[in-house]
Amino acid sequence: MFPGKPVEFKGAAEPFSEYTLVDGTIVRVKTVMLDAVRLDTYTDTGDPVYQFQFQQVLAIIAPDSLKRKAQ
Amino acid sequence: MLVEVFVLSSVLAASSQRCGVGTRTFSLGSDCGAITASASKEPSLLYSATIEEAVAKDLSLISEVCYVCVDRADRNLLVWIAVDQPDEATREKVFQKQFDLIDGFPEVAFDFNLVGSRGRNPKDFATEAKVVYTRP
Repeated sequence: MFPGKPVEFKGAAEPFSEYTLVDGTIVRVKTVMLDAVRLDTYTDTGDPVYQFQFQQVLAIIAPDSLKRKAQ
Repeated sequence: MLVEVFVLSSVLAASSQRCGVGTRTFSLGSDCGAITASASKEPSLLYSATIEEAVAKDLSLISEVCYVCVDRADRNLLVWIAVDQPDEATREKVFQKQFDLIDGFPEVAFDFNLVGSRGRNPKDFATEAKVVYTRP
C-alpha cells in the first residue's frame, strides 16, 4: 500500500436511490463518504490515485402484508 | 459460429467481477484520476432496516453526534440529536443530514431537535424516546 495524504471534503448532497421490489418493498440506499486519501502514486497516464472509504445507509420499507403476523 | 459463442462466453465470464474483500483500482478518464475502493467486508445478507435505523446510521456518521433518540407521535417521527458542542460547523453537518433525510423520506414528517449533550444522559432530554444510537 502506498502512503498518502488525507484530503478534506464537504458533503454537497447525499441523496437516496430508491428501488421498488416486485413484492412491493421499497429499498432506499445511499453511500456516504467517510474518508478520502490521495496516495503518493500515479497511474501510468500520470493521474493521481485516491483511496476512499464509504458507508452504506439502507432503509427497507416493507408492506404490512409481508411482515410476520403477531403470534 | 460455435467458436465465436465460446470465445464471447469466456470473455464475459472473465470480465464479471463480484464485489468482495480487498482493494480495487479503477481507472477513469484521463481528466478524472483513478480511485481505489476498499471493501471492509464481504457482501452479506442485508437485514431489513427500519427508517429509525437508517436515521440512526446516517446521523452516527457525524463524529460529534453522541446520541440519537426517536419517538413516534401520530404520523410524526421525533428525532433528538445530541452533540458534544453544537457549534456552527457541527450544526451545518447535522442540518445537511436532516435535509437529506427529509428529501429521502418524503412520506415521513420529521421533527428534529438538536441538543448539546453536556454530559447528560439521553433520558434527560428525551424522556420517553427510544435511544437508537449511542456513540461507543
